[in-house]
Amino acid sequence: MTDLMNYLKEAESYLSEISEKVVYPENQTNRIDIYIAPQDVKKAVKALFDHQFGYLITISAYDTTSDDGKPQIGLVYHFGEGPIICSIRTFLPHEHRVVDSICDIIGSATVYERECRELYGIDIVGTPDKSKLLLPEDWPDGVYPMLKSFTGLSDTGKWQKESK
Amino acid sequence: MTENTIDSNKSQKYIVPIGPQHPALKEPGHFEFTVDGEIVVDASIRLGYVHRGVEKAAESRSWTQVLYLVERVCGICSHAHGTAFIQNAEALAGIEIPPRAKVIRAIAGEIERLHSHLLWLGVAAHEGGFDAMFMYSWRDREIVMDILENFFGNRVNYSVNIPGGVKEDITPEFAEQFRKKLDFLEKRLKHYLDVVNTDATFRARTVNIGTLGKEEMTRLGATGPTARSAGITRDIRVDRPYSGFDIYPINLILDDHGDLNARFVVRLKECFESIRYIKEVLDKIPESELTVKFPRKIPTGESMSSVEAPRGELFYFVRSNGTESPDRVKVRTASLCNWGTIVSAVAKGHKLADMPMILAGIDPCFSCNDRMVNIVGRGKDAQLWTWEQLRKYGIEYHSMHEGFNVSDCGIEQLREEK
Repeated sequence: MTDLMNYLKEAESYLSEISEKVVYPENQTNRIDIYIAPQDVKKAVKALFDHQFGYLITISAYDTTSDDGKPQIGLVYHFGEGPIICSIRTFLPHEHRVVDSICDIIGSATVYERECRELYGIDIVGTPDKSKLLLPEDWPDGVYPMLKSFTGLSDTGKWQKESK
Repeated sequence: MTENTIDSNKSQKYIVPIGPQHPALKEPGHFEFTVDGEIVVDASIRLGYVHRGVEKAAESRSWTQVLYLVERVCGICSHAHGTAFIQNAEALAGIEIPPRAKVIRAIAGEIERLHSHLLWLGVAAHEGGFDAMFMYSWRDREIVMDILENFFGNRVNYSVNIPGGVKEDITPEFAEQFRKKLDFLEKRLKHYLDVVNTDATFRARTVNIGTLGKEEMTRLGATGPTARSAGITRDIRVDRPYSGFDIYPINLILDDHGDLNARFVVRLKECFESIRYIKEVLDKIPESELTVKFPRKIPTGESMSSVEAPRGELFYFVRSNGTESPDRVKVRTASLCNWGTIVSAVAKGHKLADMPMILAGIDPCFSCNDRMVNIVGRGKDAQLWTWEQLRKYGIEYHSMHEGFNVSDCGIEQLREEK
């Protein structure tokens, strides 16, 4: 257990300067959630990378609401290191979904960034490849299927007919 | 389709798109290799041709329904998907499954690994033209498929997991039959390892091909046998032991060469370790119930955890909003991170003729190996290639330039063993 704690504390120490809040989830003792501001994402990833701490598992996004009821996107960068999972988490308001790319630090993040861009409409500044990864080429612009507000394309019939 | 670009040195580069459309396709993907003569200088990937919206669909289904939905993300590692999802749901619900159920989940996972690695061995060998090996390894894979069918009633999508436990028990009679089949399989696998390690032609096509060092693999976040073949000690069963592996630990298999041959060796040695593990654990499965009660509604919260699928780390991030359906299910499959590794780093600098085996080396989902290749030579007429033609090109290239005749590789010994 102390070994686990050492890993968690190590992760915390690397990000102590920029972390806004640190949470140790009760249901999973091998996890640490570090909350940071959107503009610090690159700095946080670089800090872990420079200390050779962990590897990027993936970048997850989810549509949620803030404590005061405003819609926002949660963006989580999951890092695995030995027994622990360290999550760097930030929130982007719906009207300003912008975050820096981390591809110049970890090149393989490009597929995860393309996914977040495509499914959640997050503008990832400096991401090297902005082409579609998952959705069809003729998918309408500005429609992001993983947002909670998306319940289907309004002109599904027409769209299906055209693609035949 | 095909683009030609002229760089600042006035030399022309050609982009060779591979995939995605072909009548025989089951799972398409699309790659573009930029070639300078025979050498690949850049590579990119386009997925999504079979994007089914599983993550979105999960948000409107009950927890139990989602378990069966995610098992269908992949037919080959369906148990890994089910386990990864349901262990997150169980963590959120605050329940712990009985030890017997945990161990049965681990055993099922290792049987799945055996069938996946044998399938891979055949396909990877086939891409290099070693068809005798392909046919024999697939024949032997049938033994594993029979075990799965006898045990869980299905060859694929066997649904071992149910929320709160497992659906089938391992009986002493079944364990007895099971051991005999594993003994036979072990003998066969020893022979395959021998071919991989000693056959001159096989080694010529795999040693020092597609090599990636430990440092770079670590940086790119490679996982599974691909990472372990470069000496990275990364195995979720050991690092973050989950159902069953926390009770009976499993050994880590490593190789430090980082090339295509090492990927063969690691996967084969993992099969031995899986067999050893299953045999040992069969003797001491703890006695207990198979299930505990799983609630219909799960408290608000979130959980993330991974499972060591045959291809590498399979990661699930699950959020609950206190209702009967999950709020968000994020899946990061094991191939995806390795695609990044191979496509962005390994492919560059290699011959186009080595691409089929290099791609095969990471064990991508293999129903996607028959596809169309569109190739344009230096200013000449466009040619249309299928994946099969690229494969043949690779085999013939090596046969012409380096005098390999792969068609008979290892077949004499295999005949004797029959």
